[in-house]
Amino acid sequence: MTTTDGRPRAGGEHPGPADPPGPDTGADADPPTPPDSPSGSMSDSPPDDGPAIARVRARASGSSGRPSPGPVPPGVARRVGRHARPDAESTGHTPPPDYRPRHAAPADAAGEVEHDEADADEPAGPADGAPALTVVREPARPPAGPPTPAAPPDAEIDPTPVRGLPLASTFPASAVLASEPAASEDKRPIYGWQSADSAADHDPAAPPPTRQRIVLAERRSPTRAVGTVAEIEQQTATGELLLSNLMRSQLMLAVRLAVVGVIVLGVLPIVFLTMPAVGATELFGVSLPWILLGVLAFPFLIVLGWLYTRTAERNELDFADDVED
Amino acid sequence: MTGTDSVVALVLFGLAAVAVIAIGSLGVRVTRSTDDFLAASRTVRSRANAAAIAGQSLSVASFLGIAGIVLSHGVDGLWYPVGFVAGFGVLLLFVAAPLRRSGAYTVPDFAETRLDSTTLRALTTVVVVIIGWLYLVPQLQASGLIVTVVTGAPGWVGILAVGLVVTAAVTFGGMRSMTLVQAFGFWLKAVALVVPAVVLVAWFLGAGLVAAPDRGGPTVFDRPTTVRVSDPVELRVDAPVTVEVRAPGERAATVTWQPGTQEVARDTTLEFPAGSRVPVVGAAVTDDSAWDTPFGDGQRDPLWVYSLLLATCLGTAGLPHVLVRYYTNPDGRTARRSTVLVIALLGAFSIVPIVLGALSRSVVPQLLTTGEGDAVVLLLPSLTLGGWAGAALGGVVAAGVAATLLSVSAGLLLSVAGVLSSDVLPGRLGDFRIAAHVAGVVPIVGALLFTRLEFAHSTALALAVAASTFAPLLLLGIWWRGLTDRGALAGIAVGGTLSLGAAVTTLCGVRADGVLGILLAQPAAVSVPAAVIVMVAVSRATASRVPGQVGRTLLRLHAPERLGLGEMRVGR
Repeated sequence: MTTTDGRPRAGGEHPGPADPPGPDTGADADPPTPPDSPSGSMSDSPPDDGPAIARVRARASGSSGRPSPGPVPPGVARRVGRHARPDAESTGHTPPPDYRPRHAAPADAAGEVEHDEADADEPAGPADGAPALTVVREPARPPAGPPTPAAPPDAEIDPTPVRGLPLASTFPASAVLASEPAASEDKRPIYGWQSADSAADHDPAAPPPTRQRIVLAERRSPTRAVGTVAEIEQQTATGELLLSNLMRSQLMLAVRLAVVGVIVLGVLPIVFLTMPAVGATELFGVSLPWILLGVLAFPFLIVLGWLYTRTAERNELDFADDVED
Repeated sequence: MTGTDSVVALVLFGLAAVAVIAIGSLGVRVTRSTDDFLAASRTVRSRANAAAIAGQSLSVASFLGIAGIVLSHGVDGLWYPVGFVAGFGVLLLFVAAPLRRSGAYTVPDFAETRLDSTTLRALTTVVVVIIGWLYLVPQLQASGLIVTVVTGAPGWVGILAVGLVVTAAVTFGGMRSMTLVQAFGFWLKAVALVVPAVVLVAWFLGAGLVAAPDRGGPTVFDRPTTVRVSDPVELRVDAPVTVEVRAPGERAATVTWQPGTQEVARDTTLEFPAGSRVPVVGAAVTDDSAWDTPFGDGQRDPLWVYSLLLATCLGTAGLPHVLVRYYTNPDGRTARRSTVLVIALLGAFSIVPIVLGALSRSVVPQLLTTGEGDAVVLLLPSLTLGGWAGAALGGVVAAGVAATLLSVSAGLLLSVAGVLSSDVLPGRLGDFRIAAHVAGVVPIVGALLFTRLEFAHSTALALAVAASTFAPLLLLGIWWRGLTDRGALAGIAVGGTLSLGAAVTTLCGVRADGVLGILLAQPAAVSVPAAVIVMVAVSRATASRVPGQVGRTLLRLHAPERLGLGEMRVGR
């Protein structure tokens, strides 16, 4: 079973791997892999421990292992790493664990993607001479270098997985998907570390120290961010209350606008049926029903949608402010 | 279409098809993993994504079907475009952002995340596939109609050709390229609709309407008209009509048709004198004043309207191939914004076919006789303008139709194949290709076997199935803590059975009168409430099965991403 498809299902078979300390959180697809990797069967065998790593590997083998089985031309293989990087880089600048300016991200990420494209082709070229597996892996690593420097220190690695894992593990299926980005945060340091140590040659023996470090990440709640964010995550009464309030305000808003739409559109058939005069009214030589249904209905829906988006975003901002205060 | 018009249309149709496939295959180079294959790595920009979603939704139901339904049913037909666009309103209000934040790729993913049940996942997988196939049938039948209209070849030629080409394109493409294809397809469709519309409206204002009679009274041919029937039709004759019939291989004979039904064989040419009543195919409205008045001819009533609106409004929110596009938005906020953009784009491009359909009623009523009303947008230029202008505009429309058919069918096939490969077959890319083949063959067979309804109608039937299954699951799953897996299973089973039963019955050509007939043709008024009631009731009865993590799941669905709550950084 391959990772992408295995993950959701794996989560379902083990509905509540609520304990991140458990060695294979949601990454059941791979339990066989951890023993495998140290054997050096995979050129870049990531360290084998903990869910974080398992997932990292899931991701890594997902992105690079997949194309290789097919008769993929070198051009394709080289690009393998290209999109792994935007993932990682966008998270690379999010380390502050308690606050993520999500909305700033797209622009950055997009910019980075372009740089990557430029980068991606360069290191890949020289790699052509290397064995097939190297070609597949190489592009992921060299560019991994730049953002890395900050990451390797233990202190940096700790908080991120801690944030990611416990929550992810509580979601059976797509939570695992959801945690991919978190995993890629880890991946950055790992790759960086590896590229530093095993740059010239894939040395399967090299990684062990990294493993140890990530294991520390298994500690969770103690290092959790404090404050309202934590309260919400841990589902205390306050957190529940805040969430309920958000849901209620969003639902009320949506229902209110939906009712407006239903009334305006829903009353038309009755009007047409009971008041033929309306149907016979002409405006600019066209009878009124045509104008109402064929033209005016659409701007009406656009206005409803625009109102909703504006207010819903404000509700979310309020929620965010409440949480962060 | 004949002569030069056909050639031009065919050439441009082919060029557009090649362009779509070329764009599709360009993206292959950047497809690296199943992730990318299925959801474009979630890096697609929001504006491109809005165009892609709109392109996906601007299917033949919009492009051809709206004009066709307006031509044949008049003001009552306007409820279809209103419903199609309003569906995105519901999607925006209740589903878009939370669904994006759930981080699931597909509806089955969502179901499993939310309710933690593999059985439910299996059931929703089946429903995704069924809806996809139902929705593909009109797309493929449209290909058949277009090929018939352009070349005179029988319908199955087009169905097979487009079906196989699309299957091949999906097999070797991926959604990274599909997003490009659909964004491109959307703009091609836009041009193909707007340019001819502007020219034709100018023509109508100038010359066309002068010849047209005043509105009101029965629909008549206002000048001697020759009609060539490419596919066998059964005509409904309301008043005695004198017509010169020239069947293939026989001498022309002038006959008088009495009121009733009249079968006309393939390749027959009919010559109607000026002023004779227009015999029509199927249930098209035969009286111009009835056509102009809501519920004018008594075939439709408010129950039908409400049923249709229920199906289209909720159905859009449950369409797997539209939902899968939401996973390519970077976050919930963008998901909302691109939905508003989609509403605007779709609304704008719904008005154009409405205008074309309405204008064509007085100019080309013969399309009602040949049963090619759904091809009116394509035929209008050559039937009205004629000459090189007509040929060129017809060709532009043909290119738009090709883009519509290929991009929408490919998007549908892709989501069906994606679900098949990830849930039915073990998921490797190779298996995805097998799944794509399976996903392509079934709707081709369906399109060949089922009756060709008006495209707007058959699309609405697929929407009714989505509205009776996924819409309750999504709405209750996102907004109600009490939903349980048992409740969802029961609700989907009930709603799906009712709506699918009615849809298949209708597609097999069964008709009924009265309320039953309306509900058979548009089952949502019964099946959606039934599904919701069953879902809520069973969930209440099995309240102990509410997932323990429901609070956390809902937190993830509703909290803005920037707080990093509930591990929502799904987008990158």
